[in-house]
Amino acid sequence: MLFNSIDFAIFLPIVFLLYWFVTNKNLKLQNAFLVVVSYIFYGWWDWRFLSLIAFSTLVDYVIGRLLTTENKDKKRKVLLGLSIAVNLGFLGFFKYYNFFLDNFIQAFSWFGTPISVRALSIVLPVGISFYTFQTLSYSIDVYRKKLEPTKDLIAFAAFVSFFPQLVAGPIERATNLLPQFYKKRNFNYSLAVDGLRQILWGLLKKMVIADNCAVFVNTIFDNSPEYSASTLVLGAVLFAFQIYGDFSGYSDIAIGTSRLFGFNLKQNFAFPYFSRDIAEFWRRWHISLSTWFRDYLYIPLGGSRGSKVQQIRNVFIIFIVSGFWHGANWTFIVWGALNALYFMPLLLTNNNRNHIDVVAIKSRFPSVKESVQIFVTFILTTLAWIFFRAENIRHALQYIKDIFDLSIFSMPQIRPTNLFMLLFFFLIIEWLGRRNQYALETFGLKWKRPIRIMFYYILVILIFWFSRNDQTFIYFQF
Amino acid sequence: MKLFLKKTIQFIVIIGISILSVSMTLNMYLNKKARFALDKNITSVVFGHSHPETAFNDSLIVNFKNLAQSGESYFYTYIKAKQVFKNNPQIENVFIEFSNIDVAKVRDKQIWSDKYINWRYPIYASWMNISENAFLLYKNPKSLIATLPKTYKKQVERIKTKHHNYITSTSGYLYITESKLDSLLNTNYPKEKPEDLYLTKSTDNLDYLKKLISLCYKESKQVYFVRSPLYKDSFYRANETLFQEIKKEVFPEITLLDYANLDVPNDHFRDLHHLNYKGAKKFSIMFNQWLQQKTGKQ
Repeated sequence: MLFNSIDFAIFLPIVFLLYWFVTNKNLKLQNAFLVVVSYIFYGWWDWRFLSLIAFSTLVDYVIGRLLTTENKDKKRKVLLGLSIAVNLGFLGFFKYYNFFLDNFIQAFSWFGTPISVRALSIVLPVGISFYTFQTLSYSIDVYRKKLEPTKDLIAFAAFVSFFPQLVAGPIERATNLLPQFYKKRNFNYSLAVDGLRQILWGLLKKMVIADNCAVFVNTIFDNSPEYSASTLVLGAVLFAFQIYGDFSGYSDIAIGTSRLFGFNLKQNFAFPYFSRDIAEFWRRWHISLSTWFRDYLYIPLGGSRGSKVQQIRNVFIIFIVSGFWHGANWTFIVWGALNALYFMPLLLTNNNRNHIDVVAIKSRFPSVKESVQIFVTFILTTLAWIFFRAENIRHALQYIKDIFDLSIFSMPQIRPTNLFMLLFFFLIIEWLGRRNQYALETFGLKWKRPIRIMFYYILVILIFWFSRNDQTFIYFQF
Repeated sequence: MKLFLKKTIQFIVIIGISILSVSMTLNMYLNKKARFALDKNITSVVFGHSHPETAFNDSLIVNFKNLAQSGESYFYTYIKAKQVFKNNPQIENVFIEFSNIDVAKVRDKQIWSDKYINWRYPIYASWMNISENAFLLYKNPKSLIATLPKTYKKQVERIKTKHHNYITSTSGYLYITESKLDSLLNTNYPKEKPEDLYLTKSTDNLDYLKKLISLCYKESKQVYFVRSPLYKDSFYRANETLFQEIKKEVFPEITLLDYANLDVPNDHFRDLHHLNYKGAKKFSIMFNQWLQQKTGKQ
């Protein structure tokens, strides 16, 4: 079920009313209800893959229980290994099997030994990359004794399958989300209103910004040889906004929906395009994934300790794995490696933690220096996005090569004036709200109520007017 | 909680009322401005889908207008016919395409499936009454609601460009030059097997055919069924028995001008179901002769 579908518009109010009026008396019933509706939400796409979630839930629940009673290190390691093997096994099979097979065949053919192995027609279960990482974090935290394993299977199942963030994150940590299932939720007016505001902003990001950028991005990327360099630049810039609107929009809707049910999820995007360097960008983009890799991969590898060589190795590993997480394609791996390269100068000069605060935190506008830094960072990320969007490496390289042409000084062949105006309006609000969890969090709260409500109506009208049918979320494929 | 629900419902109701008001205003304006008038000498028209759309070259048929359009089911034809009759009292003869596919279940889907609502509703919304809107809402609420933004955009675009001639945007002879029949016969055919939807009986589409016929009678029009030429091996013919049964049992009083088996060379077909310009020429000249004899004009 898509957040931007009529199905969800019907599903959400029904679930909301039943949740607060029918199941609110009993915590267990409320959690069980959340499991049922989450499974319905997921099964709407393909009910056959519900068994995967159920199996993953059971495995990690049982392993969590066994880890409490087991004191021997070796056995605890085996149990953790089992959890990792099951979760990554599913992920590896559904997501990477054909990729490895293709590359295996190609590698052999290079050595003059052509082999023929049949590829499998595998459907990638929606959200598998997200919920496997979520359950993995539980097992690892229990293993590290950072988290008390749960005895409550229903609460654990609700944590794994919680529908707002099941299919595209944010990837929640058990330490943050699971305890929220133990406590009785009471309806909180402010939290719910805030949730609705965040849903509204998320829908605008997705349906107005991302979906409308997508039209031009698809045209330009699918026919890139026909376009001038300036048009190709426009295509890449619009893709940067498309992917931001798409994914951060989804996160906003997920977080906002959770608030309607009395849950607090962590911020997943913190205005990444206002970052002053790549390190800051990665602290602000897809935060739940970046911190996951930081805590469960980068730090165990040694993190920023050890020699410079080890640090460089760790950075490359984390970025390349992060790229590979996005998809079984060399384009994602190169995208990850390119970001690691961008990171290198900051790491080598110990400048990777220069920009912790929000840009221009005490002023209205950024300084000239900050503006240049933001611009350069945006250009670098946009260049990397070309690999993310391109069909294959060859396409990406050709696209970049075609950008470095004299026609970069010509007017783009495509000039979406309405979209430029929307982006301008969008960026202004994002800039004004950059100190908050999401742009609309406090925007207009000091205005008189009728004006504020009118502003929300304008947003609804924009969503209604600019929406396009049948646009799915990019991150569903990951 | 009560306050939250009250305010949320209030917000949604105001949006709903605003959308409804905009919709009604646009529809009223477009209704007022719309032009469905044909030339005064047009006394015969044909309604239907792509088969008559490509078969009736109305430049070769005297006092005749082709009002067919690809993929049009009787539901949309009925809505269009109401406007055409209202603005063209001179019309005497109404030819309605009645072929194998029109009695098949697949035609029902061509009223309210996602693709067809998305395609047709933005064009026809201005002419639909409450019951017709309710019918689509009942059949496919999701798609109808999802199509509203596109509908309003189209309507505003129409107002901006002052494009109010609905005859040109909802009908007309389609001139096709290509002939793919032989290549199709050599490649796809006879692999094409009709699905059940092509073999079982339509309900909604036939209901609207009955309404269309009643409308013609009410407006004192002479009604004919016409079956445009169809290649002999077209899989649409698979429901021929059903087709004949329905004609005989449901519409016995209506004359069927059956050209399905007209002798047409392969290169006169675009594909198995549609004529190209050569076929249209041959057929239209022949049809014109029949029409002139029938109306007593030469």
